[in-house]
Amino acid sequence: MLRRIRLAYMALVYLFLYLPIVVLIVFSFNNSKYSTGWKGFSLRWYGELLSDAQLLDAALNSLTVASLSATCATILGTLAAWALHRYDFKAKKLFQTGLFIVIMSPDIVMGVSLLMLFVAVQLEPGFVTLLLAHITFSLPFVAVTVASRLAGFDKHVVEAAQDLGADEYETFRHVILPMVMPAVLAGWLLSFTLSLDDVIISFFVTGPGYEILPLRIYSMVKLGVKPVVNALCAIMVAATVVVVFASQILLKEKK
Amino acid sequence: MTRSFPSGDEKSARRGARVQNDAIISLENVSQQFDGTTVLHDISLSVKNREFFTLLGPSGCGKTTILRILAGFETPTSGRVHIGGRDVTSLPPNRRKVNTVFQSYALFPHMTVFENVAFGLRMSRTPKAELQARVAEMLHMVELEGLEGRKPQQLSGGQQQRVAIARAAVNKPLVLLLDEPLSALDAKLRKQMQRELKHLQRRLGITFVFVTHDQEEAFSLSDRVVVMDQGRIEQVGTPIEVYEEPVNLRVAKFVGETNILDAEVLGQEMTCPDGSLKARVEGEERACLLKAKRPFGEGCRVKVVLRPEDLIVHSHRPSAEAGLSLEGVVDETIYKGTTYDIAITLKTGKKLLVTEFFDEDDEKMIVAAGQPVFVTWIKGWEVVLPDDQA
Amino acid sequence: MTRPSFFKVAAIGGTAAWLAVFALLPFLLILVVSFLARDPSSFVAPSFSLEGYATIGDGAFLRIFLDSLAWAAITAAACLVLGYPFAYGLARLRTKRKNLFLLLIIIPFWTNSLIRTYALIFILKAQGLLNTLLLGLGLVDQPLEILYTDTAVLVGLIYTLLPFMILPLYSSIEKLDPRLLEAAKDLGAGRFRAFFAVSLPLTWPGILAGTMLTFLPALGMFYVADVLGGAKSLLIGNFIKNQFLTARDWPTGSAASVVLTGIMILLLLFYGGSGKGAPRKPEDIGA
Repeated sequence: MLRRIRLAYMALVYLFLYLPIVVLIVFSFNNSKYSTGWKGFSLRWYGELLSDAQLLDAALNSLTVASLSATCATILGTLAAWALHRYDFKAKKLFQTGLFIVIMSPDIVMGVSLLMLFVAVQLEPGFVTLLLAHITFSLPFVAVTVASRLAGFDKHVVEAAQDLGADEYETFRHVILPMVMPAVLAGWLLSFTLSLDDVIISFFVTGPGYEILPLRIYSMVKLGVKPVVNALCAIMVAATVVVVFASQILLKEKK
Repeated sequence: MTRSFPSGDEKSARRGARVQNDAIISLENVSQQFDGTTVLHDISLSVKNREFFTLLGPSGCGKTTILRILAGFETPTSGRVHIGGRDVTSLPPNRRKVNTVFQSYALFPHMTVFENVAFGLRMSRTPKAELQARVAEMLHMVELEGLEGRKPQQLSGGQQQRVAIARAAVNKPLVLLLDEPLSALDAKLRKQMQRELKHLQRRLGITFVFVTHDQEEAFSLSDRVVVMDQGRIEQVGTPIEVYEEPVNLRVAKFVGETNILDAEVLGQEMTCPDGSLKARVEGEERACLLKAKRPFGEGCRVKVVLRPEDLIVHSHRPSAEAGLSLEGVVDETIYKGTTYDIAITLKTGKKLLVTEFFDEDDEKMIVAAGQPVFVTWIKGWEVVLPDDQA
Repeated sequence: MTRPSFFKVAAIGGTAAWLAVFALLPFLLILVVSFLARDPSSFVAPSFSLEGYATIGDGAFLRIFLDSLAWAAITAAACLVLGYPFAYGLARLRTKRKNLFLLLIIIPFWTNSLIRTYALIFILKAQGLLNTLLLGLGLVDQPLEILYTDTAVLVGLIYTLLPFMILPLYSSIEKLDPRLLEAAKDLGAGRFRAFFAVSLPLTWPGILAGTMLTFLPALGMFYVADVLGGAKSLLIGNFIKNQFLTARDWPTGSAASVVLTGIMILLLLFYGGSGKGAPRKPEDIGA
């Protein structure tokens, strides 16, 4: 009996979480300018999306920043995870705390503090500042993902590599990296998603010349519902689902 | 494998400190400390070229630490390490001509058998043709032909172990280090692998340094054995030396079953040239002669060590020619197939274990629990040791 | 291992340098600026001043702060109450499809929060799904005016942050050894007693983690207030945003940021202190 109540409750929560998004997606196909009633199935908003140059531009920018920052964050994060796993150095605790703080920090504090940094060095807010900010907040997530994979390794594998003549770099490149690759790729996907999803930090560090998708949506929805936005959101949700599935598969691959 | 007993004194048997001309490894006064705890105390050791050398001892005795120092994974707190004539004390593992077979095998899971075995050759930039040939030859030697394309997860424990050995040996190191490589195998496979390892060592002609806590394994494989306890070397010698002539009670107890009799020395027996002692054993009235390797003063308390197979059980008191006979009662008998074990309690309360080869036709040998018996031992097989509380 | 390898130095040094420049340094700047005086033309004047802190300690602003803290607390509490039974049920699922159900929670977790907030509009507005349902079922006569009120913002916060509470809770409950509950029941505890005496304390780390992951963001997510609350509602996040971009009062904005960080550090210390004290494995109990 209790079990049934539990399952029913779970179903309710799933409903609560998904209903608004489902409604949103449904209305993206609504052949009406207003979302008051269903006026038939239509793809016109998707069509309008494709012809909205400004939106497409923003989308391209978002994808560019996401891919680039994900790549850099993955490289740095993987090296960080490896350094923490392999070496014992004096500032290790400090280093770990630093990573932890970046993960836990409220977005708004990161956003304004980075803004301040860029102003202080007189760096124009735009593509570069955005990229730097995104790499910074993604880095620790990659590090954590890769580190947890590394934790499961037989420590003798590294010794075996050394024993057979590999130096630090060769050990990393030929032995560790291949073994940890699924986590590295998952980390990349994670960073990519984080970048596309970010609103608050991007809000402060980007400039008028470089528009990105979340901020474009933000300025559009402050004024209420817009059907084109529905279509855009539907696509982004679909993209997220794909990425989540992909990263789960990667993380589950090896035992 | 017959060697004559060296007549060296106990100190030399303990340290083996003489660095010999054909020594491929020498450790000089190596000490190791971790977090304030001393794991190795002033170890000096030398290993001969092409020798099968085993470090034997209970867990925590320091044998694995020595192996890791030889491999280069640990740097000793003090002392020097020489391999192949070079001082390698501070040389990192990837620069030493030494390879290790790990207890957990540590095979690279994402590489095939071939790639695993070829790894070391790849790191030393061996030309492709030579690499292929050597890997193939090595796989043939360990009987893994045909499995080149498999990944470690697809292999059995025994096969993985051979890959680990092949991966290390293919590099033709000066020394091959093996860290309890057989401990994960079941008994039958273990015995088989022991034979194969021995053959392999002979064929490769490489020095093997082997670590184990299994005394039987150590004895069946090794040319020489080091018995260690708590970071110190107790004895170095051939298996026969260590078993038949242990230098102290610790070694005696570790390398096999022991019967330890208490005795009091009455004096040196002048009539015997081999340094026999006259002593009173287990409080017996009649004194007897004991063979001793070192002098003991009058009144000294000593321990007489006898292996189970050195003792003989008699249902009736034997004649005086058999030597001193001790009275006792049988506790229980254990039939083991090849051998027949008899547990006896002497009238002094001391417990003994006697092992005899089972002879179906000998009715005299079967005794029953509760039966009074007499125990003698084969003259000259006893070892007299000082009474240092082991 | 006596000579440090280039690779090792590069790996550690590179990432440490990045963090130092882009995480530590900016925060230090905030800290410093919070103690500077305001300058209309160049944002800050290089002279020590406690103006920033004074402004946020002032009555009107203080109220916004406290209100925002209250909302964040309600959000966290609501997420905990709603999320715990769910996480418990999910952890107890004995089906091969368990991973799929877990995935279904992970998806909203990774979906853009702005999009999810926006999607709520469809439900909450006057002709939205909720009202249509309520009217249709005859539960109300008039459509409820929820959108553009504080309630909408609260619902938005809870909606957006619920997965952030569920996942840490799930992770913690998953590790719970069911045999402990069996032992408790064996010793005579009823279901509720067993829960409060065994399950709850052992999942404390998950509760703490979830609370931090919902409370802190609830203070800063200004876009939820903007999209669902109209111009009326203010979170600490909105306040900071305004200080920096509209009012151009950097010291005040920085002071508010420092306070926000202070709250985070307090929570982290609390987590570190009591989170570790709470027993997590059977061996810990009675130790």
